Amino acid sequence: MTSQKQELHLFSGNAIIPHKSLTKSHLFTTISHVQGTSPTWLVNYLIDNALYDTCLLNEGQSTRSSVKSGVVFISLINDSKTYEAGLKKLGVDLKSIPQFQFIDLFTDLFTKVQPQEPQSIAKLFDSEVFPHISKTKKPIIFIEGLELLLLSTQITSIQLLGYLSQLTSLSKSLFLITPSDSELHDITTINTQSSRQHQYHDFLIRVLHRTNLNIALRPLSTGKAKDVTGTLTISRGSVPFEGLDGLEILEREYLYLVSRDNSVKLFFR
Amino acid sequence: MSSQTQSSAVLLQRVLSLKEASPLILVLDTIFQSSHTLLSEINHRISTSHPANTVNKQFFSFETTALSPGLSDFEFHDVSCLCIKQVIELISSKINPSVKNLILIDSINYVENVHLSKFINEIIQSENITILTTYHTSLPEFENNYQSNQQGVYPSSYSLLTFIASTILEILPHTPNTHMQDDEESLLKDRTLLQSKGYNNTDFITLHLTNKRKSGRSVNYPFTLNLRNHEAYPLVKQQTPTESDEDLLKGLTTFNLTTSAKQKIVKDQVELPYFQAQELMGEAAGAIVYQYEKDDDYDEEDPYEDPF
Repeated sequence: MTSQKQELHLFSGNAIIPHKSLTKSHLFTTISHVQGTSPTWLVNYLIDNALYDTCLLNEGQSTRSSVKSGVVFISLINDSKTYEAGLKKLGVDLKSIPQFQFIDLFTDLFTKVQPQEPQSIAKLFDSEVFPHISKTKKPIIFIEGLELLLLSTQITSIQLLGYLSQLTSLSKSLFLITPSDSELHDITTINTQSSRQHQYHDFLIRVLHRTNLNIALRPLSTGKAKDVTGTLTISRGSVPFEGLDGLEILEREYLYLVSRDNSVKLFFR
Repeated sequence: MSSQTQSSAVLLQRVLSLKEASPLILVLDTIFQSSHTLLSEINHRISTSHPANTVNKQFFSFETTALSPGLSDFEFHDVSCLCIKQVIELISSKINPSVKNLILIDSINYVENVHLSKFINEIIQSENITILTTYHTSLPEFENNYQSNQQGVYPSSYSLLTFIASTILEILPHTPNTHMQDDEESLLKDRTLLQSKGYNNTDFITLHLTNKRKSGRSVNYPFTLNLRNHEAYPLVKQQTPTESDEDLLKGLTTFNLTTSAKQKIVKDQVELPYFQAQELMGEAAGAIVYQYEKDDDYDEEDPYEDPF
């Protein structure tokens, strides 16, 4: 018996990133993951979809024409090579696309940021991030590793959310890629507001009250399997997304398999 | 519909359309069911029950960056970068004393615990102001420095707000087949956080209305709210008998009205006459069979015999 390959859709009408609706509404998405379910493969497909509205996972969505939207990728945990290599395998040369911009906050992060001085983080965003984002043509922004600032400096969750709010207003869609390992935000045994776990838990819950869409990558609850890497869950966020033509979020759960050659298969659960 | 459910539906309509005097309406929500849909519903009911321009609608946001379509007639102010004093000044400057004012604050979690009572008190200065605010109960509250200095007597934000609020609207997901209790308990665990399907329903929500009267009386009614057709259905609790008849009889009199367990067993063992009669059933094919016993008076005359 062979498993049927399924397609990736986040919205009704076979849409992944709903480009048309983004002219009217803002979309805020979290991509949460834990150890063992790295989201790199998904992010690669989403960058491709953000740029060209294509997705190689789906039949009939592989022909690339013009660039549909500018994309800004901000990373505190990876440099540009990670995604350039990943996208190259999908046939996209990020270096040759002027509408794609990678803001590398990973290299030299702690020479620019002083853990005891939250002001240095404000300087970092004011000099390295906000000036590089076009205010006339709002791009789709991806940001990963933001929790690193929360866990390694004295910044509070509310201060960090302030930067997210600014990124939200500068973008037409914002994807926050963040880990959700319980060790990072387990507060059941801690009762002090200053603990990093508390700050991260507080940050996550406050973010969840702002999102339209949540994508979660988790390992199988039953243990490891050779033919399944993990589960991919798509669920509505707290803020209803008002898309064009009655566009709705498709709440779904997939099983996914990332093979050694980085090819991905999805199966409905 | 009983008179109680009728009056609860009327009360809800009055509260949601701002017809009921209430200086602070507190909306309690969670990550499983946010308040956004309810706020749009409240705005819809206000718009349909008040003539245009008779309610001054102001939205002060610490959280959301733009107005949702359901709240498009609000004036939006982003106050996330302002200090509390500046927020109070801004709100005061936007109040129009000649009309009803609706001050929507999203969300009150961003106001520090120590400033909370002052913040609310300074806004509610006249009778025509109503604060409508959301409090996220999913966010855990921790003992802060101020509370420690007060030797633990200063209340939490949740306690303060639920005490001050004249109306509390607690939102729960409308998911009859899921175990909310389990989800609340496992909220902090990774498996449910960020990957809960079937929540944040935009069509139906469950709402618990708590309304406090000036007399001190507080009423609590649960509802299911249909957000598509804007109708509310009071949830009537099924009367489940918690006590048996035996329990009700206890302690009513100085003598015993109940039966003990031993008496019950003996009572069950009594053989009643019709049990024996049923053993012969079927033998006479439905005819009436009379069996004489030793003391029966036998009469040879048939009383039903035709005399002619």
